[in-house]
Amino acid sequence: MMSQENIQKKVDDALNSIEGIQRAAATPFFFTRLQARLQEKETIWEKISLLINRPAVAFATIAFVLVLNAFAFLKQQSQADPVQSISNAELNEQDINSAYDFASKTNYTLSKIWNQDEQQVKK
Amino acid sequence: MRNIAPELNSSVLDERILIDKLKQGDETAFKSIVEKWQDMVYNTALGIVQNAEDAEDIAQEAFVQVYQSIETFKGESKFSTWLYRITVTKALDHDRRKKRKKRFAIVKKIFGDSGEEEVQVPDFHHPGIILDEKENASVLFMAINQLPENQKIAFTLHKVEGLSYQEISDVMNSSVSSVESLMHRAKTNLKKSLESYYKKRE
Repeated sequence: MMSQENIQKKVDDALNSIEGIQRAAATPFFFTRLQARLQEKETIWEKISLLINRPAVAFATIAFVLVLNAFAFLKQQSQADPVQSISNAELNEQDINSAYDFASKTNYTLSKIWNQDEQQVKK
Repeated sequence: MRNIAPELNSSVLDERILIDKLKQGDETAFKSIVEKWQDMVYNTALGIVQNAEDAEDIAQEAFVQVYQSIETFKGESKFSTWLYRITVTKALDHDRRKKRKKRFAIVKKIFGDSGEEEVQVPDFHHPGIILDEKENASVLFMAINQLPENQKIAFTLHKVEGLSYQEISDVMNSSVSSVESLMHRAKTNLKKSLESYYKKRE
């Protein structure tokens, strides 16, 4: 088992290993390859894929789609509500009418029966 | 009167003349600039991304940007400082992309069938390290790779490129004291990371 002292020595050796480092040289014909790269022209698809691959663009697109969805949902709801309320109102009106109708008919029928009863009693 | 040869010589023409010539679209001036600074750019990129092919790619990207946006260089800072900034930005972008891919691979692994734990192995050997120190330096570079971005940049520019704290503060657009603080934290983190590595290796 390595002692703490040995570990410390290893750490120091590793930290000192970089002292006196020489600068790494670029590979031969670097400029020739660079020239070839400069002459390459990016196609429109490469440009689009580079743009889409950017995280900022991707997140912005997702956020835009979400906002669009939320907007569409809210708009749909606000349009759906008046229709529902109108139809409810219509339904209520119908209910009231029919109820009133029933009541008036019932009143009419009852008064008719009472009249008939009264006539029979008089007889 | 002395005749200036058509082929530009970087030893005769200074930085400013080269840049002015490049602004006028002089291809020979661009060649001289590349030849003068290519090792600096490559070495900086290599220290950050720790991969020879990626470093070459980043160095090329950096010079493409120099060529395309030399008009924006106003000469307020040294050309080398501007070039370091471009290189560091490109290298960090590359590093971030690589780390994103790695994170995605880890997520895939979690949801996939393989449950093996990823073990980090020192696998980068900087060509500028002397043979005797290769193994130790490889472990150190692995630890450098785990540092937070700012600490990694400060440490790499100081130790790999040999820049002073003043020069690093120019590149990073910060004060000398904040570079000192970054270096101090980088060293502390490296010690912790290396201790942990050697303890695990027992």
